[in-house]
Parts: sequence; C-alpha cells; structure tokens
Amino acid sequence: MNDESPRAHPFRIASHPAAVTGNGRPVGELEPDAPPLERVKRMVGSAGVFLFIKGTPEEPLCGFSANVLRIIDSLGVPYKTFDVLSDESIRVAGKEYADWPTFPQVYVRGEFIGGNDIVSELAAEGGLRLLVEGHEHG
Amino acid sequence: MSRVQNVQELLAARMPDAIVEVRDMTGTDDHLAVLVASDIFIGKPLLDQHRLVMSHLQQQLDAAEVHAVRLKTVTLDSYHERQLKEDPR
Repeated sequence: MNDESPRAHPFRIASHPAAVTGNGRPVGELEPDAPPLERVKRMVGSAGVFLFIKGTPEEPLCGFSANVLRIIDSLGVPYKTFDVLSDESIRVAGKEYADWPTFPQVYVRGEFIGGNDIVSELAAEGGLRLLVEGHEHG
Repeated sequence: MSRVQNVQELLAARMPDAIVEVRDMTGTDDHLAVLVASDIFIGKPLLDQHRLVMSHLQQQLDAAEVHAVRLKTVTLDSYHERQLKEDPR
C-alpha cells in the first residue's frame, strides 16, 4: 500500500494463468485512448477476477501485490492484472474509481472487494473462494 | 509525538467507543499495524469497516506521513475472545 515513485514499465494488461485469454501474453485494451476512469471501468469488468497491482504476476514489485497474487493463484481461477506503475493516469483513476487510496486492488465481477488486508482476511476465513465462485455477496 | 501515538490518539478521539492498538511494524514509525475493536462494525461488510477507519487516517496517508497501514477490525466480542486465546490465564 506504500506509494513508491512511478517506474517505467511497458504498458501491459496481462492474463494469468496461461490457459486464459491471450495465453498469458499481454493483452491490449480495446480503447486505450478512452478517458482513464472509463478504461478502469472496462478493465475491472473484463475478467471475473481483476487485479490492479504494482508489477506483473511474473514480477510483482510490491510485497502486498505479491501476496494478493499468491492468494488469487491459490484459488486456481483465471484472472487479469494491470500494472499501475506502467500508467500514472490509471493509477490515479483506479484510486478514484474504487474510492480506495492504495494498491493492490482486487475486483470480483467488476465489484471492488478490497486491498491486501481485506483479501487476506477473506481468504483465511474461506469467504474469498465463495465470493469468487459466486455463492456469496460482499 | 511519534506517529504511532498520533494515530492511536486520533483514532481513539474519532471512535470513542473503540479499543485501538497501534504497533510500529518496521521500527521506522511509518508502517503501522492498527487493530480497532468496536461494536460499530457489527453487521457491516469488511470493506465498509476498513473504509470507516481509513477515512480517519486519510490525511496522514495523503501527506505520506504514514506509508502503510495493516488494518484489522473486530467487534468488541471478538476482541475479547482474541485476548482470551492469546492469554489463556
């Protein structure tokens, strides 16, 4: 949740694990020129589970991002991520869209679930799997 | 005043019924572990509980006085249960 200075990263929206859309390769946005909030809205709705993280699934650049990736990986569901360090406008819009001050941010079916602490706690209680599988809300 | 004390007093003032415990995770006084126990959390989703506490810390986070907060919210009942588990005497 700490905010290091932005770092240069190639734009990417990665799909992981490799079996889902794009076979694990970066997948381009349909309209990267849309306003940032609109891009955020489309991204978070583009996968059942979507993560705004610092870095990539292969190379997370923040301990909290690494932790949520580990948790989501353990669920064995497809998900997509976007590296907020690669695009300052998305980093700003992501905070506004979720009304949440920090990254990582986890979305399930387009709905903001929480950051590292909340996702860790939900995972430990077993509630995260139910939420992701659609058996429970909020 | 250290940020640990600052956050402790701020949360205690904003949430008078709450038990607030703030711990310095790294020894650098800017990565804080915050436990808040209050019955105001009863029936609220976890996200709303965290939003409530974080709203009180927004200024410190915006000013980057505090870099990271590890937050745990519990009701007073579960707080007392936790205490019993940690100290079974």
